[in-house]
Amino acid sequence: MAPELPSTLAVEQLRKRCDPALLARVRSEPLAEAALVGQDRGLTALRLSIGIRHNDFNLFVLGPQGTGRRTAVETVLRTHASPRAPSEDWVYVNNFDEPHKPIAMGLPLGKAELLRDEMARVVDDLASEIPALFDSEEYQTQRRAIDEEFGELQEKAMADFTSRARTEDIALIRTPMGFMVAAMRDGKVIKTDEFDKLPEGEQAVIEEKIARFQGELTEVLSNAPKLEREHRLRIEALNAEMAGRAVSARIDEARNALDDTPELVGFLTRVHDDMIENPELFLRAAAQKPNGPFPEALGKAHLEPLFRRYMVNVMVAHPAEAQETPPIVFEDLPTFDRLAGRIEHISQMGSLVTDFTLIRPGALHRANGGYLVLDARRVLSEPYAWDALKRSIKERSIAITSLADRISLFSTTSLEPDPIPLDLRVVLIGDRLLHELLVMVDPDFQELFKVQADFEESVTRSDDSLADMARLLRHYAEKEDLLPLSDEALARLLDEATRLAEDAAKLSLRLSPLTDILREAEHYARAEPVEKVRREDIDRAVSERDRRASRVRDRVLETIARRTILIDTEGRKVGQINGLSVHELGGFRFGRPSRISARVRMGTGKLIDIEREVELGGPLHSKGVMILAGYLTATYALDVPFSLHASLVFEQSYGGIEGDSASCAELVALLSALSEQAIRQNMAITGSVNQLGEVQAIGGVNEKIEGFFDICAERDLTGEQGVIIPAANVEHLMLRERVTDAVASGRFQVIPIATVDQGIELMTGVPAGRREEDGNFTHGSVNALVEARLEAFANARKAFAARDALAGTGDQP
Amino acid sequence: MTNSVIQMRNLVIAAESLGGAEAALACCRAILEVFRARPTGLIIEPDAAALQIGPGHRLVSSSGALIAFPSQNRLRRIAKADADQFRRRLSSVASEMKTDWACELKTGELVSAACAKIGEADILVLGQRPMQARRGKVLLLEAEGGASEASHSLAQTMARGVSTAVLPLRAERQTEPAALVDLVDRHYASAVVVDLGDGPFRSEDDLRQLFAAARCPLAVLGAGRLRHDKGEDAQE
Repeated sequence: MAPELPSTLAVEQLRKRCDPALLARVRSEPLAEAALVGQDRGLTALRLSIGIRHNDFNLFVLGPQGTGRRTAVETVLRTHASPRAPSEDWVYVNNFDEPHKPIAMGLPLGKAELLRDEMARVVDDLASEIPALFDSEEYQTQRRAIDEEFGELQEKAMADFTSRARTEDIALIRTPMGFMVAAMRDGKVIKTDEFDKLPEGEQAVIEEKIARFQGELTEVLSNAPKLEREHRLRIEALNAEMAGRAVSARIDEARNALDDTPELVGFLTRVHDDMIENPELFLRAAAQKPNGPFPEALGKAHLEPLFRRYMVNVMVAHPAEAQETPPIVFEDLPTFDRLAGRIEHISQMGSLVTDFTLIRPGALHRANGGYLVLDARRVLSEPYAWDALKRSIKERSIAITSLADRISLFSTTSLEPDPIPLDLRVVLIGDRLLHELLVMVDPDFQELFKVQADFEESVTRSDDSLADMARLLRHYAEKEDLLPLSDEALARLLDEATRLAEDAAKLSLRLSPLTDILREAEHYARAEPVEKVRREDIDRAVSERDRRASRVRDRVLETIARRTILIDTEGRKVGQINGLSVHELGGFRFGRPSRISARVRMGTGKLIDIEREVELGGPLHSKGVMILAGYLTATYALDVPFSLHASLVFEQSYGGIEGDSASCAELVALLSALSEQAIRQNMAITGSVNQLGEVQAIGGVNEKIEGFFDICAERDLTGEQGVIIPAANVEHLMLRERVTDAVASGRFQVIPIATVDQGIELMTGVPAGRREEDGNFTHGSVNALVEARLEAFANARKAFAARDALAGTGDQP
Repeated sequence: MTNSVIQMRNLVIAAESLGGAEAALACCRAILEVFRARPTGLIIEPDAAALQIGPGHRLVSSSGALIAFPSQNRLRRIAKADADQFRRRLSSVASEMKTDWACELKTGELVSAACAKIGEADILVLGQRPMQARRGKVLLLEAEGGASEASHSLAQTMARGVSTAVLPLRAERQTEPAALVDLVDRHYASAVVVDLGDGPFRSEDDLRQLFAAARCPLAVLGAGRLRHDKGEDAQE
């Protein structure tokens, strides 16, 4: 008994419909903080990464865009995250011994800005106190005393010298080039010509005196720098003593105003010592003060470049009460500088210079002790950012370097700031492909990001999941200050979620498209105006969205309608069939029919895929065609050589073809050509076939059906038209209502098949036939006709071969 | 003591180098503001080479290094360049004071050349760079009867000009020039002021010794009387 042919699918099987009454039941349930729907796997991973203390359990959140990854991360962090390490404020201060190595100081919360402000006040106060001290009578008197003491010492040395010289008739003469000792006689200097006339003995005496006093003069004058040095040291000691009084008092005040943490005490001590060593800074600043009417009011000494050495560069400052709240930082522009901090430079006299006050914090600093969330693709796109991030996590510290130095762009004064200890959980958000690539090519990645939170694209459609999604969407509407949704509108929107999932048993968890539709629908509703978003508003949003993107589809349909592209929707043809393909442009998918033709003749067993021959067929398509050959050779004329020459082509197709979803159509066309049984042109067929003749599921089944439907509808539906699909795709059906309405009224049909035999029988109207006990196919069936044809080809080929052989030997048959 | 400030004719600034002239000029700005005088510069090209005795005779720089005697040609070139610079300085100062000026270059010995130039009423300032960088006081030499009012006034003006104070100096043996010279020798000063009319300095040699001991600019009132006295002596 021949197996029954599958029948047309009922309307209920073509589209799931959410019952608004279900949603009405949950409408009254309180809108708690909206949890994500269907993301248990991802959320569990997220909570693990947040809770575990080890620093290498950083998190990669992967999944398609629009599935609420970022929202989930933000929500969970804000509600469940606790500080990873006791939070601290961080500052950079001057390293007085090595200014190019600024010192990082961790301070209790709230202290950084206090310290910064207090240091500014210290400088402002001392900038007026120290100059006043140095102007005082006390200082001036002591200073004059030292000056006079040393002045007299030097003069005394010279006076003693000249006095001694005078006793031996030697005078000291000053010339523009220096001093000279000269011999005197009778109160007058002996000149060269006079000296030359003197007796030798007297000359010798004079020369000896000259030499001796010359030597003494050399000693006296060379002693002057030593005296000068001693004078300077005495003055410096006096200055230090004077400055010390003012500085010590003011630094003690600062110490009392701030906490006595060891770092602070050490820093203030160093500042104290430096100020005492360099009181001239304050004197210089006083000398540079403007002389306007209000010099004191205008002068903020701490702003002067002279005093930058005492300032405090606040890198991270938290309010004192922020102890229990971890920092959570979302950095949307993760460049190298914005991530790890940067060192700025300023131009001075044509050079670029920097100091510790020009160090700027990055996201790592701001998030230290808490959580940093980054977009993975953006981090990887920014030069050196990924490397900086990994290095910081591995070394558990933030080292700020200049990017220009790193890439040796130019040589400038630069800094080596102390690295700041880092305790941080990093959350990267990215897609699956990126995750895979990182796992494959970056050995550090799996070491540092041990947790992956895989976000689902869809969830099983059930009353519970529908209710959860409904709550989510209502919450969204409320949060975005949209009009409330009617139950019907919500039900329609949830059905659209199933359509987006491409599976009637699922709901898509890509919330972006749904919220986009919702907002557009709400816009239409507001324009009416109505109080709630209605079902028709959702419908309109969906259709308008499609219309905006469907220009190319409409042009394609137009070319088919105008028969520029030939597609038959009635009649019967041998070896010609309506296949179906789906196209995607800019995120919009549409289906369209394509004419596939098959031609056969005797040959050497070659099945030519014309698309592959001209390199328009992709590998998956070629694989599908080769499977056909496998089916043919394994099903028919098994005891004769395969002697077919067949060609298959997608007519009027000038672009690439990929995928095997048309292989069933191609096989049916081939069988039609071999059996010479005409195929219905009012049907289209889609499906992938294996070597056993089983029809397998394909993608885009909804769009393909709708594509053929639209062509038929444009030519007026005859009631005989329809699409044959794989039975395995029935559970993916979520057809538009224009199609389901036509099916409901009997003007269109969708028929599922599981085998190619069912397909050939539906398309030709002739039973496919099966192999009987005698080894032959059922008489008159398509398979029997196919096998007979192939056997005929084999016999003809054998006859030709024999004739050729005879012609070769010269024998007559 | 002589009477109050008198109208001066010339302010003669004499030096052997630009450095010395500038040191003198620093003291003289204030003088020009107070006294009516015409600044007159005099750069003397020293005859240092003529004083070299023997092959081992050297000059000693202010830092104690031994240097060879320069040739007279070199001294001449330096003197000429210094004179050119000094002219420019004087011109600038005179222009500020809205007065005319003069400047000469002569060869010879500083004190003699300066005294030859000076008129009786003129002020003479012999210029030399102070040995020390820090500012000392202006020394006012007082003779037996004290310092003249003119020299007082001059000293105060010069002290104001270089932001220092006046230190009157009086030797125990006030009639002996050597005593005052010795006192000056042991003080460090920005300038020294003396009125020859007050005594005890009477000759160019006295002035020369005082100048050598000062080691800073020396302002002299009544220097013209030395030329007058020389002239009378010559006539006698």
